[in-house]
Amino acid sequence: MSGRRTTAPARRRAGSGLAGTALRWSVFLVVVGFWQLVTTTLTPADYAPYFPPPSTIARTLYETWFSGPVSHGFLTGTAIHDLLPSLGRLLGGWALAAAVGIPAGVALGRSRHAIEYVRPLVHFARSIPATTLIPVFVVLFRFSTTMRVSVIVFGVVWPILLNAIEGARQVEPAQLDIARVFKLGRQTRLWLVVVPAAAPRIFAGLRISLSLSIILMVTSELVGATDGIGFFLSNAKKGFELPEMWSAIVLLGIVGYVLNTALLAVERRVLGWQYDAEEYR
Amino acid sequence: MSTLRHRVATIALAFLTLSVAACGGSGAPEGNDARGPERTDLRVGVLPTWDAAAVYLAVDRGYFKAEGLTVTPVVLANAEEAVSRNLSGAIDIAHDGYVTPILAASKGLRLRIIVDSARAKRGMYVIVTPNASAIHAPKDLAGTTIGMTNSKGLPALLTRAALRSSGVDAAGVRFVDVTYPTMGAALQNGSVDASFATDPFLSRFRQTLGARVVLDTIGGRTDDFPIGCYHTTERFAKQNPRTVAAFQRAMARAQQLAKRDRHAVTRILPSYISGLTPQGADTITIGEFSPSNDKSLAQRVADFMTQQHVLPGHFDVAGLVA
Amino acid sequence: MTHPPARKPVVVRLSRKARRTAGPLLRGFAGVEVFLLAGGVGGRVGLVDPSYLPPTSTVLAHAGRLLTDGGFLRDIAFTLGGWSAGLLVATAIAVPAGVLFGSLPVVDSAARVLVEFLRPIPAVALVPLALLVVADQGEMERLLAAYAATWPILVNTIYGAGAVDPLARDMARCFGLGRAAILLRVWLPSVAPFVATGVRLASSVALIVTISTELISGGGGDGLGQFVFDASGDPDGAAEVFAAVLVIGTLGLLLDAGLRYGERTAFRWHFERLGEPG
Repeated sequence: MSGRRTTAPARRRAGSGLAGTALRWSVFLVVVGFWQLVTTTLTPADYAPYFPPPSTIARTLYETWFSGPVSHGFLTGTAIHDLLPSLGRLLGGWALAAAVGIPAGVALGRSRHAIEYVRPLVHFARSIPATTLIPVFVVLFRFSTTMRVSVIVFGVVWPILLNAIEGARQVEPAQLDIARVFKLGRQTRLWLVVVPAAAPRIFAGLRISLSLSIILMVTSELVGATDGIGFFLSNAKKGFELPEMWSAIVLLGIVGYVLNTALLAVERRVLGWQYDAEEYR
Repeated sequence: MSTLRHRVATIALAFLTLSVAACGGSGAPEGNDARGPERTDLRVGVLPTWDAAAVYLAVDRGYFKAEGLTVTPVVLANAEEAVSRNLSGAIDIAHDGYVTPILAASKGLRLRIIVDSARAKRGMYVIVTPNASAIHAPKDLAGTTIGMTNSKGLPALLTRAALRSSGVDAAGVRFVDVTYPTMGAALQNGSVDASFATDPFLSRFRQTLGARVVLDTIGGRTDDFPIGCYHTTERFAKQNPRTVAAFQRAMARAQQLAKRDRHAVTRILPSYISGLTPQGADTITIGEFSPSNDKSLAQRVADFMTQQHVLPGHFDVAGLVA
Repeated sequence: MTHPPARKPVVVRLSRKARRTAGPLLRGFAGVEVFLLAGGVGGRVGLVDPSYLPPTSTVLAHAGRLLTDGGFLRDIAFTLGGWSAGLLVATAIAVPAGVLFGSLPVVDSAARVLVEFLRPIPAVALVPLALLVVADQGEMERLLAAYAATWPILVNTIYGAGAVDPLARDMARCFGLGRAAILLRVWLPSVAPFVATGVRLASSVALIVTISTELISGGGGDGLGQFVFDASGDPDGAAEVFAAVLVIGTLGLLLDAGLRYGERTAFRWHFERLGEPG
């Protein structure tokens, strides 16, 4: 593992600071500019309304979601009605999956045989598309928040579980031996050695499942919903309100980006001594 | 020397070919002459509903062949797909309700409705509740949740109108989007209080849930409501006027046949509605096939949509209808 | 032996390798068995209406029957076709991009912004747009599967490219190897195991998106998702739906196991270096 660390600082240096930030966003702006060009010149007239230029989308985004009063944090009625409940379900489902997946994963990771019992089951379950299971959840939970959160939890717990297992499994034996030499009890060993060692991997699993949660949240809101971003998206699509549909898509990207950045910040604080923000799955 | 001869021969041959082609159009009908349809191979998208039977009948009885067309029907999932695929060119002509293409046209998508398909009959689009439900009369629907496949489409429009004529406050009733496969479970466990239903699901709900009809959405102002049409893109219609005319003629024959011979219709339904048995096909409520193209129907639907504020204002369908 | 044997004991000598794989395999089966039994109990005990959640035995029976049905096998083949094509396209796009981004830290952090914006957008939301651009259903599901599969491969490739041992790179330069040669002989072998891991992870995403797209595209097409859509329209179809789901999960499991095996075998040197147990 130590061979990799030497390159991370170089990357950090290049990406940090004002110049780094400016560069990052400039690439993004170039892509958007290109997109504007394509949609205003190259789209066939037949379905031009389906691909509005980014300028239109940005304006619709502002008008639909963020043009509200200051007292509401600039959120419009639509945003309060659809964005907030979706965020709640999304974060609730993700947190619940973490609360279940991390302890289970760490516990399983310590036992080689336990992993082997569970692994095929995990890979089996994570291959099942959520859309095929939504009817099952509807039967169990009707059209409730429970149903939507269950869909998210069911889909998202696997990456968290897998990464927690891998993280706990790869604790360096030397560290555990030292702990045993110092006669540290099981609990202490767990919290002092295993969890910190597994932490980077656990965080990687959390980050992956965050974007997956967003996807599942949208999917679960396509059926029997009366609020939510997925509901808004589906409604806009059915009513051929295409700029609004695009605004919801872009909003999802924004939500994902913001949440991911926030999680990265937390990760950096917690793992400061071991910062290696690599992605695993 | 040979080059010169070669060149002369080529020019002469070209001239000959051109004159033959130019003369080919006059008089006797031929295979692919200049007066026949511009496109002979058509892909027609259909929604799996009873009124699309006309397309299959036209294929089956050779009406398309007689007009020089080879039609491949393709079953689609829903109305938006019909519009999307039509616009992308994957489907040349699409069978659809009226509401979706009108809505699309009002947003600037250039479609052209070329054939009127059918009208609804009573008992065809109803609101049902499961046997155990406490809802018996339309009044009981106040403040309930009704499941339907498209809460922005025809089911919602018809339901709202029917609720209003029964004196129920439509604003207090919630419409939610549920696909038919999930609808049964949703009715049974109370996720929805009632459901918009049409055949074949109506018969199935009757059988499996003892569902009963609480409200018929067809009647009074919605009597004889136009529920199906065939549309293509404006571009296709402009570029292939003869093809469109040929399609319209073949469809007129098929729809006249369908209107006369209900048995022919029920026999052909299982061939494109998956999961439908011949016995099941007999129980399906079949409405009125339109024998001829009535262009005023689209305006009727558009005005209906305007009344219910689905369209922001009056929408003139003149650009939409051929 | 302290007691006379009643009959000759049969001794089976398994090779060490067989014994090493047999244990995990059996335990894996046991895990799945317990899960299936638990599911079966729910239906029988009457916790839920059995017509919506049929007992496991019924589901298994249906699954067995489906696997002998030619039409269903064709559906499996169609889905696998979409899955493999999507995965291939994703690899073809993500690997060069990932190597590029990973080797130039500046580009990497700039591209990260874009990646983090695009990743949370569900393929489901893009279906209406994909329907326009792409005519054929098969093409559309390949497109969306490729879109979804690109992210895990890209991210893992970037990671792998950043992990190339700078010492090896400098040594190659010292030996006078040109850029292309360095790329081929230092970068690619280093990055390859990470790409393989990325592909394995992307595999389950690609499968899910392929099937979901088939589901959403509704009637008339081919594939497992199509099958589930048709079966779920039938009120007696719950057992069929679950049987199909069982097949889908097993398919995902087998694909993952197969890719994992290939990964370990082809890049054994890499995993041995990391000290991961086989």
